[in-house]
Amino acid sequence: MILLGIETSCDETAAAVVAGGREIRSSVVQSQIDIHRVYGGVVPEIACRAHIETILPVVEKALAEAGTGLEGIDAVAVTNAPGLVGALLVGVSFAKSLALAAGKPIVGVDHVQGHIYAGRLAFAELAYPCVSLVVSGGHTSLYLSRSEIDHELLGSTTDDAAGEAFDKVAKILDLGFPGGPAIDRLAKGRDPGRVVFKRTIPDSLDFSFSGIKTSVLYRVRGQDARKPMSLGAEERADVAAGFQEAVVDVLVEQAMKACARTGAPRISVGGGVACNSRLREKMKDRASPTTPR
Amino acid sequence: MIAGLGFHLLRAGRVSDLWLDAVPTKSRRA
Repeated sequence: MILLGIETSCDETAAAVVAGGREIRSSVVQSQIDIHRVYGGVVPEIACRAHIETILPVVEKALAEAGTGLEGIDAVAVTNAPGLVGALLVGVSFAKSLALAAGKPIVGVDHVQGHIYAGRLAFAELAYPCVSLVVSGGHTSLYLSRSEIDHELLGSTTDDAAGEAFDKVAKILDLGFPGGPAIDRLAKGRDPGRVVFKRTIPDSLDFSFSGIKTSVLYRVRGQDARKPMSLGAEERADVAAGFQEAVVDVLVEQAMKACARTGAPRISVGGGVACNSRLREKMKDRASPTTPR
Repeated sequence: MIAGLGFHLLRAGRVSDLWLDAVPTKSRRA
């Protein structure tokens, strides 16, 4: 079965043609980062308008690269939740029109579950049950995954998502948008113990990152958040490393706790923040043949 | 990942109808 997938939940217009759930025949992503950078984050109204302009060429390109037309597609899959409502509407409306015109079935997909499924796409050997940690700009959640489509929510952030905290701290440190890669680069090779921020680790499997974010704000700008950033290059890198270490410690600790409580023997990490080099390093360090992998 | 997961949902019979809605939640903003 060959599916055309369409995703417009935030600031990327994407389309892909996938056969049998695993064989990627094409994948086209049109990023809007350059449009939003000047605002220091994603502006929903601008994102929607950009999706309208790019969705048709992106889908046409995905079909062309897969060497097929609509007649070669068995169904259309589209992100219908969660995300920016206007942005979702563009993709859902487009997919519905396409499915109606071509006489194909349509299936709505939760993109957070898509982040979890990305682990399965990358590693065919990933077996269930496993604990799935989703860390992105909009979400930070832990699930017990029993199959590709069966996920039980164990905990999630009670305030900011981890990626959101990275973006906001990057803004405080004048590092631009998106913040995650900038902080990762700046923190590389630094001693994360030089500037230490308090970790918020609840007894539950939830997360909280707003306290760490506010601690960084006070550390950098004092009580007056309107004051300009005045740290030198060295101190700024130490703050970035200390902040990143605190966030990563919380993510790893809660994921390991989820494994212990559910008995799941492995962890899958998905979402944009899964690219963070320190998170990958510490998650690997904590996993071993005798503990979750 | 949307097309891949869509394959499994479709195989499990979770096909949507054309009244499919977009469902928002809190997300990253400037």
